[in-house]
Amino acid sequence: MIILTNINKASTRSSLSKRLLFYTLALTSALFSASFVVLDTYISIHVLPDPYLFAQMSWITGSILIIAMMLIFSIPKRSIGKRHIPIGSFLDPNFKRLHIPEWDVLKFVLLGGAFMSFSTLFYFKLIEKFDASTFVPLMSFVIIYLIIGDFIIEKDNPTIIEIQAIIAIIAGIFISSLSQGEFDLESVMITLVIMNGLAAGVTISHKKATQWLDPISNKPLDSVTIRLYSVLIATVINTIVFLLVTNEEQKLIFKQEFWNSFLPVTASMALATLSYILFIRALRMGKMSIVNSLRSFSVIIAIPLTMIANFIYPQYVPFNFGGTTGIILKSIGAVLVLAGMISLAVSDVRVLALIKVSENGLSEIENIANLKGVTRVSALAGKYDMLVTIRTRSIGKGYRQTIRKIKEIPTIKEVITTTILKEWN
Amino acid sequence: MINAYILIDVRKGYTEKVVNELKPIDEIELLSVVTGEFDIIIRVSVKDLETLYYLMVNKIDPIKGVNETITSVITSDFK
Repeated sequence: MIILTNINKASTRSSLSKRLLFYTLALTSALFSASFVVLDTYISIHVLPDPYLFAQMSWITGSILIIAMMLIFSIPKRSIGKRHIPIGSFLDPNFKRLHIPEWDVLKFVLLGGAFMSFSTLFYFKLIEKFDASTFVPLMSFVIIYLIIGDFIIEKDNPTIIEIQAIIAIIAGIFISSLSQGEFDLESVMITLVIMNGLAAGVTISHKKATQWLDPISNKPLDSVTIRLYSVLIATVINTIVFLLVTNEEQKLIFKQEFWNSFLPVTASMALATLSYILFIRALRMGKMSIVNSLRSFSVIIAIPLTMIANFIYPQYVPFNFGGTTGIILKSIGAVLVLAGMISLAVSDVRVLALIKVSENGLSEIENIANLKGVTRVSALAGKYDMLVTIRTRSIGKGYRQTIRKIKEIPTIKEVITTTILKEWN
Repeated sequence: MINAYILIDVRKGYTEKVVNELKPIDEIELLSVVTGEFDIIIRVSVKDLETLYYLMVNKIDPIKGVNETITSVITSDFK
């Protein structure tokens, strides 16, 4: 009876479905992302115009912030028996207190952090010369790199629906950026080739990190830890670049402006940190190209946010409406992005396959786990030997790519497939 | 921790009622209404086999509309 009392005292489960949670994470990440881009525009114009100083300040405040967050998040929120649930579990249910991850996963986290560092340097270099609104939308073209990445990492080629949706989102973002009316070949090339290449590197590395599972607890590495070690390595790399590239005068300005810029840069990095933690959580749940498509909604959200900031502080945050044509183009862009996102959201099918195997059939479990669309394979004790969870864009694709291939395995005796009509978690 | 899938066969017309009674159970990680041989498949996470037993006999089996259950304990998860 004691056991039952403990069960009843446990917290009420969130009623968010997994799919809704995925879209909420990606879109909230987009909202935070749009907010820090607006704030960065203000800082780069009025507080720290030098890109190297801004980048260095960002990483230093980012490091202080994530260490402080990690310590606060580690405070126990409640206890279940001998197990202490830390505060950080509200941000990521897999949150684990401050620890050094195993090298198998840490290498991907550090690689992602290194890409982040160089990406930030180029971002600040661009923001120094060009209005963020002229090149930030082009950063969404990273999705094309990620479709290729998804194909390589998840062995999953995009469906027609996914391609249509992604094209609609990219076109929407591109049309929205056209309304800004300014294009510069240098910024376009740096953004398309270098920035997007580095951004793809960050996403692919961190996607690999999210796929790792702790061999003992079977839990993935939490998003706060991924952010912590990424920021720390990025700070180290950026500091080396800062010390090598900047002159004495810049270093002196950095010292003088440190406390003046501390608050706005910390606010920007707080938004960036929250955005990234939610992004990593979404990345764990879905394809890289889809998560980035959803996150690129920040370009659309940035428009009303910039308008509001411009309305309150016109002297600090510039905003060019582009006249009636600009407003029409922005509206068309927003509609296209929304249409793309909705079509992605409604075209997801999940199938469960219950499998019976002959003797030694369980040795095929890893091969099944590597099939296209397979999101989880559980070895079972009892009537069935395995339960395979398959995520696909259509039932036909699920059959062709997965079920048929499972049935072709000689040790598989019986496969019972069921389509999930509705799911809660 | 013990993780398990419970495959539930539901009496005709009772699916929504059973789902609504299952939803508040904290040990259920995933609840899926499915087509085919079974009507509902749930994934549960419990402290030990004894807790799984109490979960079955006190919370799932008594739900009106539950015809038959097949419990499969997960021995290992991939991905």
